[in-house]
Amino acid sequence: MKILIIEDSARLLRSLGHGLRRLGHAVDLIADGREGYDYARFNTYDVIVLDLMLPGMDGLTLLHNLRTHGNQTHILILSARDRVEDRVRGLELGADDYLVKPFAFDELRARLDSLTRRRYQRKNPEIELGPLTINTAKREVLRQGAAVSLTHSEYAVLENLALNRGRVRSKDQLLEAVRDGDSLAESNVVEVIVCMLRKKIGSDNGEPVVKTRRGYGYYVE
Amino acid sequence: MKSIRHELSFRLLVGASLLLVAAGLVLGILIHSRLLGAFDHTLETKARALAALTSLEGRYLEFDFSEEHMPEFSHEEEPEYFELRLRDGRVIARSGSLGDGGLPAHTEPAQKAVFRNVSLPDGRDGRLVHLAVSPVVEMDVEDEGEVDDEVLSLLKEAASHPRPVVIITVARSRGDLDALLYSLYGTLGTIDVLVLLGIGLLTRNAINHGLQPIAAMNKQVMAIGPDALDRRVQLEAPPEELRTILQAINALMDRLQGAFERERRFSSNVAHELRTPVAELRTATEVGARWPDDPESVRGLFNDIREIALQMETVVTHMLLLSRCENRNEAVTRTAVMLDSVVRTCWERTSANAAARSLQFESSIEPDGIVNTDGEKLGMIVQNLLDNAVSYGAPESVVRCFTAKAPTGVDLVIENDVENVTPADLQRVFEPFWRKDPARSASNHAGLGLSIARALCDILEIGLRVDLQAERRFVVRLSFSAMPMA
Repeated sequence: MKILIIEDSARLLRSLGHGLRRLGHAVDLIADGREGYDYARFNTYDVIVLDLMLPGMDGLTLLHNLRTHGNQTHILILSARDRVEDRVRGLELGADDYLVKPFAFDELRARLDSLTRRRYQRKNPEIELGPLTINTAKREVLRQGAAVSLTHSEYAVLENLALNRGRVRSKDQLLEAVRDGDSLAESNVVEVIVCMLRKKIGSDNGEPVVKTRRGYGYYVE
Repeated sequence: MKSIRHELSFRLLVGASLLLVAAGLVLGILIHSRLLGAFDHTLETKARALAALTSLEGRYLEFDFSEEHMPEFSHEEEPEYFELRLRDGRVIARSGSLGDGGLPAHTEPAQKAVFRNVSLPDGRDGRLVHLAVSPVVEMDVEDEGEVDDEVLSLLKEAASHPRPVVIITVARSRGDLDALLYSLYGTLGTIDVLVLLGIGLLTRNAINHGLQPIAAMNKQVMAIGPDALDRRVQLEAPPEELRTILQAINALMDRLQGAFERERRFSSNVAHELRTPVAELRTATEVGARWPDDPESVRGLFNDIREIALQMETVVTHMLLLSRCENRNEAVTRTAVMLDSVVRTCWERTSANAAARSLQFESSIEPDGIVNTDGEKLGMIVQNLLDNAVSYGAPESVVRCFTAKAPTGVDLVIENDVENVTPADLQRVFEPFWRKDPARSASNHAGLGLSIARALCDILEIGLRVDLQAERRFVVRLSFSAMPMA
C-alpha cells in the first residue's frame, strides 16, 4: 500500500513512517501543507493521512482543493481537533475517515487497511489466489495453510497485483507501490522482486501465479 | 417566583379596588345623607305645617286640622302619623291613623327639629320628627282696623305672656327611602364590580402591551444558544426604560461571545499542545515496542520521547506559573532593580537564537533606569518578551530596547520588525497558547510567553501595552510607576 502522510510534527512523522514501513507500506512523509498538496496531486497513493493544522496550507483547504481537482484518493484526517463540528466539516469536505490524536498505532493501521479495501471495493481482507491466501489485514500470505515469508517489497507487489486482479500492472505502477518518496529505484527492481516472489509463492498447477504480459507488465488471475 | 406581570396586576387591582370601595363609600354616605336630609326636610315641613294650624285663642289652644287638606294622615294603607303634646306629655291632638295608639313622646323642647328612627304603630320602619313650637296668638285681622289702640295694646300684652309649648311629632314610613337607598347601594356595588372587572381587563392588556418588548427580548435571548453567540437582541423602537438594559445585554453578549471564543480557542490550543505530543509519545512507544530489533530507529524514538517529555514539562511548568500568577499566588519581593542589567542578562540568554536568525540587538537604556520591583519576575517578563522578539521577529531585523521618560515614571520599550502581524492580532497576543501560525509548528514555543509576561506585570503592577507601528514594527512597552524605593 502506498501512503502519503502530511503532518507537521516531525517526531510523529518519523514514528509513523518507521512503523508503516515496517508493515510493508511505501510511505511518503511531508511536513508542509503546500508541498503535501503537490505530492498528492502528482502522485498516486492508496491513502493520504492528513493533519489539519499545517504550515503552508491548512489541511481542510488542502482537502478541498484535492477534491475540487477530482482527486479521489482516500483521505484519513489525523488531528488533535476533537470537536464534532471539526469532524463533520472534515468528512463533509470529502475526507473518508477521521482519527483524533492521540491514537493507537494499531487503530491507524486498521483504518488504513479498511480504506484500502474500500478503494478496491473489497470487504473481506482475505484474497484467494489459486493456492495462496493473502490476508491484507495481517499482511500474511499462506500457501495451502503454510505461511510464506515475504519481504515488504515482495508483499507490496503481490498485494498490489491481487487487489488489481485481472488487470495488468505496469512496472512503473508496481514500482510506485514499493518506492518511498523520492528514492531512486529502477524498474528492473520490480523484475527482481517478481522473480523472488515467484520462487517463494510457487506455481498453481504448473502455471506461475504472477503472470507476465510481455511489453506491458504483470498480472494475476 | 416573582413576576412583574403578577406584581403589577396585583398592585393595580388592589389599588383600584381600594379606590373604588372608598369612592363608593363616600358616594353612598353622601347620597344617604342627602336623601335622608330631603326626607327629614319633608317631615319637618309637615310638622311646621301642623304647627301653623296651631294657635292660641285667649287661653285656649286651637288646632285647625282638616283631613281633607292633609289626607296622608288618614289613609287606610301606609298612613302617616302626627301627634301634638304639651310639654307635660298631655296629648292635644293626634292623627286618626294612630287610632288609640301613640307616638314616642319627646319632652325636651328644642328650637331645632329632632329626628329619629322608630318602629311605626303598624310595625313598619319609620322616621319621626319632634318639633317644639309655641302657638301663635290668634287675632282677627279683619277687626284689626276697628279696634282702638287701647284694645290692641291689651292684645299684644296678652300675646307677650308666656305661651304653652306644643311638641309636634310627625312620623312616616321610611320604606321608600330605604328601598331607594338599598337600590342605590346595589347599583353602586354593581358598578364597582363592573368597573373593577374593566380595570382588570384593561390592566392586563396594558401590562401585556407594556411587557411585550420584554417578552420579545426574552424570546430572542432564549434563542441564543452556544452556537449562536453572534446574535444580538434587537427591538424596533425599544422603550426608553429598556434601551439601557438592551445595550447592557448586548454588551454582555459581546463579552460572553469574546470569552466563549477565547475559551474555545484555548481548549483547541490546549488540545493541540497536549494531544499532539501525547500522540507522538504514544506512537513512538508503540512503534518502538513493536519493532525493537532496529537499534538505530529505537534510539531515534527514545530521543524523540525525551524531547516530547521536555516540551510537555515546559508547557506544564508555564501553565502552572500562569495559573499561580492569575490567582495571585506568587510572592512579590521588591528591590531596586537596574533595567540595563536585567535586559543585558536576558539578551545574553537568547543571543544564540538571535544570531541563528541574523537578528541585531540595540540597547540604549539610561544608566539611572532603576525601578522598584521584583527583579526575578521582571527578568522573566523581559526574557519572555525578548524570546518572543527573537522567535517571531522578521529575519535579519533589529531588536531595539530603550527607556523613555513617562509622565508617571519610566517606560522600558522593546521593539522589533514582524511579518504578517495585523492590528487585530494585538488583541489576542496575550491569550494563552495563541500563535499567529495556526499550524503551531513554527517553533518550540507553546504560546504562553506573552500570557505569562502579562500575568507577571499584573501582579507587579507594571503597565504592559503592545502596539503595531507602520504595519510591521511590534512595540512592547512596560510602564513602571515612579514608586518610592524600598
